[in-house]
Amino acid sequence: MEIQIERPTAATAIVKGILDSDEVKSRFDKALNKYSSQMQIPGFRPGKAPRNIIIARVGDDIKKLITEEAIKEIVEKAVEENNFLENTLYSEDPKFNPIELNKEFVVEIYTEIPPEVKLNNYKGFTLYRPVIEVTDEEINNEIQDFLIRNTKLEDVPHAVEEDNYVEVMFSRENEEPVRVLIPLDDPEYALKFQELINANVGDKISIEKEFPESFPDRRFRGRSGKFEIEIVKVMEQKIPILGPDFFKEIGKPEDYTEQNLRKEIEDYIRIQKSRENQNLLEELAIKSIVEANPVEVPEKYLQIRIDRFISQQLGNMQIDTEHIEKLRTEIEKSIKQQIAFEFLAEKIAEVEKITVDDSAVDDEIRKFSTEQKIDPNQAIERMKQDSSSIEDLRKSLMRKKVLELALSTCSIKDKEPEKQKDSKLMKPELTESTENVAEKSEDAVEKPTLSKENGSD
Amino acid sequence: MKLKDPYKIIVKPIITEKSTLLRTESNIFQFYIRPDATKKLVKQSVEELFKVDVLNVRIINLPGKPRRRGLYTGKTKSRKKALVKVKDGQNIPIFEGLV
Repeated sequence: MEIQIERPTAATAIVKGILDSDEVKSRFDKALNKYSSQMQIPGFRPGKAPRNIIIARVGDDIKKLITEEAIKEIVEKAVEENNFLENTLYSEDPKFNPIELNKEFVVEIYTEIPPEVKLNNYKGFTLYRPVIEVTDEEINNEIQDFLIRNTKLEDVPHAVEEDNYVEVMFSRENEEPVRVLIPLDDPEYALKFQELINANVGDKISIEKEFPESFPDRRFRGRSGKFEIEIVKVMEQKIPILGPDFFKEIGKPEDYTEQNLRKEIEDYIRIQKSRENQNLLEELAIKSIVEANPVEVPEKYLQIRIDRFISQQLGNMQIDTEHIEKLRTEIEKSIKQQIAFEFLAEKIAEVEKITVDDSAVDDEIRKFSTEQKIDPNQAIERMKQDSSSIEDLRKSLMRKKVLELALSTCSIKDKEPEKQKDSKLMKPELTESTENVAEKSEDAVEKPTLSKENGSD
Repeated sequence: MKLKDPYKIIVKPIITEKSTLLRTESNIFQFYIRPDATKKLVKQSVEELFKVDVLNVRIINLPGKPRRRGLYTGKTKSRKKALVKVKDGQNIPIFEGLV
């Protein structure tokens, strides 16, 4: 058996295994002898059937068996002789010619391996971040959103109008009436309950409808037929007015003023922006490290990662091929950068002797499970059952440490306000991991104490 | 009997340990044939079907064996076997891979 390794690029290898014709024949004969002694052929005693008859009966099966065994041996020998094949990122199905006696058997396996990483520089970059400024417009918009979130329903004495909320007793023949709130500002409700417009409190309306399975209210889903509606209450959305009454309602102290609210909102926006800045800095650091230390990313491994990312993001959503292709092109650059950083981070961790011990992994699981309100010990036990998840988490923590190290050595400068437009243009696309970080950080930002609950503290 | 369809004269080749031995040692090929087939017909049929020169044909009648199942007695089907000697160096390929 002969093994040849071709390296078209630093990150790819083609493993070629060759069995010469004599070896093919000897393997075939060996397998044939083994089978012939066991085979029951009518007219022959076991082991007495002629070779050609056995070949006619099970020759193809024997060839298949030899092929499988030979490929397995070739792979094992190739890995034994070439250490770099131990951690392959991706391997294609082997390509081979069908086994024929008196002909050599050749197998070719395309594999992608982690590229060789040469570190040039990963410290001391100059990074520019936007200056955090909170404008009056941003504060006003946030206040407006907050007021909309605190809208109240108020009874109105007039007939039902568009965008009103109508409380009704909803029933079907031989069924107990159910109290239902119908928001006519929702297009799906408005379409199904047009008959309510201009009706007054106490009116009884009979409608014949068919509600789709996707209807927002579960009680209506998939039902059809005649329904009786009795209007109980007509209500309107009222956006509250900023003032002492509203502040009292949301649980603020008596001396609380609009200025206090504006200050709270400004602080909240500032925290959010500083989080965004931190994410941006991490992005820029990754970009700088990858640019300073070019790494060849294996093509097929990249495609696999893009596929994985798309399937995670889209889940079961059905999207046409054209849009998926567009999405692939859009995210390719950022995922390529992320993969390159993963390879570099491993090397940097090796050079800087950065390690992540078991306790750090456990702490991370505990932190996550507390956020998700899961029993931490149970979460640790469950994670430890899957060694690959633990390994992934360890690598992710290691990358975080590497990034922290790189950022600690960077000189971070504020960008001039007029140049901030350019900085937005330069902002790299979100990568797989940092997007998660961004999501988490958004959640982590504590909103100002605007709600009743917070206010009462 | 006039030879019309050799496929109806030759029923099937006999491939067993014994027939294989005869074939390899004496170049004699065995076939089951129609019960009413004659040596002449077998010779013509084999020559036509397999394009070989037949030197000699011997025929063996195999009467059905008696079989009994409780009260009922009967017998298996009678068969007729032909041993066809073919000229040395010639071969009938269907004996190579058929069982």
